[in-house]
Amino acid sequence: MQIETLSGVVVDLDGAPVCFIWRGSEYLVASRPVRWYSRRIWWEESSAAPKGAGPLMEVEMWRLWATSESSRTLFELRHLQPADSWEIYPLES
Amino acid sequence: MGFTHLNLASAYSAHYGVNRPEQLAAAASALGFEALAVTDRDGLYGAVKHIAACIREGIHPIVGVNLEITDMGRVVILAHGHTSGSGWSVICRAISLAHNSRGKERRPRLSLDELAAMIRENPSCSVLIGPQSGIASKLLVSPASAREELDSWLSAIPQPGVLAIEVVNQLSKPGSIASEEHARAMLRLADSAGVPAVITNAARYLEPDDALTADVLDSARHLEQLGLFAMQPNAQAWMKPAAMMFRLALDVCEDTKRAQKLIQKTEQLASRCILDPESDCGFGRPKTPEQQALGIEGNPFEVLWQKAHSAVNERYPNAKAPQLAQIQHRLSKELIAINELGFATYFLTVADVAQMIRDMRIRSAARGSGAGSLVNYLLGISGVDPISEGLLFERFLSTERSTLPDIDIDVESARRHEIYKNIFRRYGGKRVTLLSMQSTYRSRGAVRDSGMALGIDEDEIDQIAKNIWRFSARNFRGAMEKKPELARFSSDTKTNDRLNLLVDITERLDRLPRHISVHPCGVILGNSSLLSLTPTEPSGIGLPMSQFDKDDMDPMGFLKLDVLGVRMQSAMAYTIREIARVKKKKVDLDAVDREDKSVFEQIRTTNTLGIFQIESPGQRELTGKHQPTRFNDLTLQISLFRPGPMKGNMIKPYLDGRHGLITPDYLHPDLRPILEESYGVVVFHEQLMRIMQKMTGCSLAQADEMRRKLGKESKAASVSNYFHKAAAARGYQKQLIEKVWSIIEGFGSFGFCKAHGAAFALPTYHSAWLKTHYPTEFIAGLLTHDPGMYPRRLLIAEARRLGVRILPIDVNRSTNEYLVEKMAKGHGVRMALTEIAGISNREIERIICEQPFRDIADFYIRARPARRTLERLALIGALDSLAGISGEEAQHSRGDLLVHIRQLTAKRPAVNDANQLSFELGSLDTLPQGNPSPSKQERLDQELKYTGMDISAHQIERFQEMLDDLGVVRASELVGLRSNTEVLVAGVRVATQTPPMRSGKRVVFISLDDGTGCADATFFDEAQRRCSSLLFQNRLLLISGKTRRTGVRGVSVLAENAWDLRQLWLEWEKKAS
Repeated sequence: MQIETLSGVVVDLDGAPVCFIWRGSEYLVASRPVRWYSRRIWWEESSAAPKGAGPLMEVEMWRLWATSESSRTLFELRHLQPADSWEIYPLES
Repeated sequence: MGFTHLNLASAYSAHYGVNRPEQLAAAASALGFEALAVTDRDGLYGAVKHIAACIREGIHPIVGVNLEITDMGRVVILAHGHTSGSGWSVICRAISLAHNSRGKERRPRLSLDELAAMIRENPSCSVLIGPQSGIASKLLVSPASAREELDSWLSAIPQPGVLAIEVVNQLSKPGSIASEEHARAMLRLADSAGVPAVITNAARYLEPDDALTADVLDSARHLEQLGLFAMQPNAQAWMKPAAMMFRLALDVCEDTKRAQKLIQKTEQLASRCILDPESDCGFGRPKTPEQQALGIEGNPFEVLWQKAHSAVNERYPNAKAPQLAQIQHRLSKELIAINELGFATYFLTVADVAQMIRDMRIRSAARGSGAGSLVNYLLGISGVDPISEGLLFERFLSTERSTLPDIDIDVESARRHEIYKNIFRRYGGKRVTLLSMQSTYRSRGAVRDSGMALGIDEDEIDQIAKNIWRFSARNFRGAMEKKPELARFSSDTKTNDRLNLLVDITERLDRLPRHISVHPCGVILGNSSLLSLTPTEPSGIGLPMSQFDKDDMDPMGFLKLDVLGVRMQSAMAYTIREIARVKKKKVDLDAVDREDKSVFEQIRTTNTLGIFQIESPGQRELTGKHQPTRFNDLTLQISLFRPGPMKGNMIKPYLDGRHGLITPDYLHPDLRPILEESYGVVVFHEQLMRIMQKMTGCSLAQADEMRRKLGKESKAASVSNYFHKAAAARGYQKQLIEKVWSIIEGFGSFGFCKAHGAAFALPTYHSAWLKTHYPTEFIAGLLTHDPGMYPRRLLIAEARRLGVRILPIDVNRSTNEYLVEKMAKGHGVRMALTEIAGISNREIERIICEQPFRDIADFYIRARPARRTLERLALIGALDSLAGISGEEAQHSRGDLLVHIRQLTAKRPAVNDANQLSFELGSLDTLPQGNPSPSKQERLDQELKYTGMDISAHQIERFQEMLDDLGVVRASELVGLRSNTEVLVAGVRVATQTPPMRSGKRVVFISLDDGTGCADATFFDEAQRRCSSLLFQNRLLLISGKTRRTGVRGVSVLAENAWDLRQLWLEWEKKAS
């Protein structure tokens, strides 16, 4: 499966997504987004891990329902730092 | 509203928690928490440190334990506070039960019934059922079965206020344990069953960054590399600030009111669990066995007074009136101080144990500052006369401090466990436990576990670990840039990410606790409530061990007795037994002349191998320079050879003064009596105390307090102030005061307690005496109990040098000890069977029981050795005399014997068919003929391979031709060479040391044994760069350098380079042929 990335994700003060554009349609977040944290395989991806190296280990994830004009879908959004980029995975609709 | 973390593992949850209690409490206080719990896994390992840290930080301590309940997962049990100790007691006893009722199975746990029974009796605790419980995992699949399990908890433990559901939102993946959704389900379950709910973060580290360390610890716990086991879901298990915990509660409840109630319940439980260290845990209250347990009646102080006074005549039989007055005066002074501190029972307890050890006829000696007490001498705790040796009571005990003093007793190591068992018997299991200790990660262990976590090849890690010498893991990166033997590794890390990560995570593991084990010598003696104050667990030696370590003793007010097993005491006891057995002479070491000239002559040769405390290369060199002539010299030498005096550069002026190279400077006639013994150099704490007393008029106790303050910069100024003023007031000149002060100030931590030195010097003298007068028996004692720092094969070389005959292993004569044997001429030492690699204790026992044997077949049938053992016995010549092939005129060779043995073992018939067996063997019992005998070199190789020792000859001999060719000098010849002579020395590396140096630069000392003695070589920076990897890895070395004379009999080699002797041999042989 190809990873789909998002651009132009609008977030609130808490960092929670509010709306985004996916496959050409605008989606509005329609549930309280649930923030969770996944982990990285830091020992494969990093070359150093000194004390205080920063967040090598976690990835911020959001699970939320969002609606477009024509559909309502459960998404998982993956927020990558420090690039501040987003990946999107539709789960069910 | 506040918040309190009720579930927090410290680093003392080995391979789980990341931060030490001190760090946790300091951070909690900085975050504004008013209380903090530590709930370590399976015990109270970090609890005392946590409580002490909380007291320091001004926050309230809470203590609990994370325990497994059989089939129901892990829960946290918190002690209720302000219950006069019943909360603390119930968790101590629950932990002990969890550990002790499991027998050999190393997984502590309690059944629900056991826990319920304890709570019925004493409901002063709360049980938190949280994310590691069975309920939490059942809830993921079936809420109904989770409810069922909660109901069984409730019916087992119906007492109100004991059970609580622990809600944890660690923001893990929706649908998994400790996700927001799961936390909500836990809350609902609690509400529906009417059980109170509290919120925690089930924390195991301080900051998100520590989660990485937690990953590596998890890997070490699972013994699996990262990624190959179920890893923590993310990095959320940290000690979050209150505001974040409120937010998490709100997210879980989705209702402000409910969230407030959740926090409120958490706070209520927290306040119920706040401990009062003194009334709950007995902090700071000394506990000693009750009088009836010691068998004394009446006032303990009066008993002590009586005992001490009645021993004066025995200890000082010939004392005249003025000396007796001095003794009485000192005794009164000591007894008054002991009484004032309320330590009479303590001294009686230690004296009782010392008497018990003597009654068991076990050698013992007090060590440490305790030797400074006349009371200890009179009670038989110490064997050193503090008056004649100039030792001070105030250094040991002072009314200015109130901590229990340390009295350490050295005993024969081989009989240490007997003593422990007798202590348990004498005072009862409810008053005694062993002390434990926490081993922490050192650099090698850290690098091994980090390597395993990263999946780095074991051999590669081995190579790296081998080159790690004497630096702590936290400085790995720094060390690797400086140390030549790590240069290659260092450059590898620049291109290999894995290796680079290895360095970082190794640094993270530094000093974290790894596992608990029995302290090598500590026994805790308490009153009958001891087991309500400390949890215990089984130890390897079958006696219960406290979960507290030595640092916990003082805060807990526990009396700790160090009964230290000293192999030298065993070796000496064995020597004395052999002298009695073979020579029918009774030796009483305590009664021998302490000024025996021949003993000091023997020491002055510097052949001090096997002599207590002065056999190390450095001490040997110092012996050469120092040339001791009396007992006090030994005390001085032992005290000078310490990091402090070495750093303080005290040795040289002392030696120069002693050898008359300089005129000692006593600074002032008043100080001369104090400093005369050490030629004007301040060596001992006792001297410093006397100087202070003399010049300021203070008491010795005050002087010792000031001495202790000198080490702390913040307090030294007040001492300086006092010293200057008080000395001036007594009329000393300003210039002198300045000069003395500069010495006192510089002395700081450098000096040594003379009582320690004198206590050590006693076994030093005893062992030297035995070596001088009974070398054969002494060598047998050393070989049997292996007390020193060198490999056994060096003792064999020393025996050869001393002319002590070493007799080879012989199945008809050898036992599990090195026996002295009468020979046609003189005596020899028969080697023990225990040295054979791979021989089992069973086999040894059978051989000893069945001795003597008629022939090989008889041996084979009755001793029933394994085939491998039999072959090895033959290979090292242990069957030679049995097979009749040991004499010159023997018709058969060892080659014949080996063939015979192979025939025997190949045809081994069924064991139960004994008749058949002997018949067949009988017919087989003729040795074949004409098989070649192994060469001398082959024999030597077999000896080295199977016993680790070169018995028939020194292993350097095979290279002799080459060594002569190269002009290599023997170790014994070095002493006759001029300084600065270019030399080559060769031998077996027997010691490598990198002691701390004044300059901070690393120096490597290598000792080579070539059969004539030891050559000591010193490698400085440049030389290390040339050959450093050789120095730590190769056994056979050739070293080039220049001689350096250090004293009358002191010579060492200033090394320039080193080579692998085998490598050279190969090249030399090639050239020669």
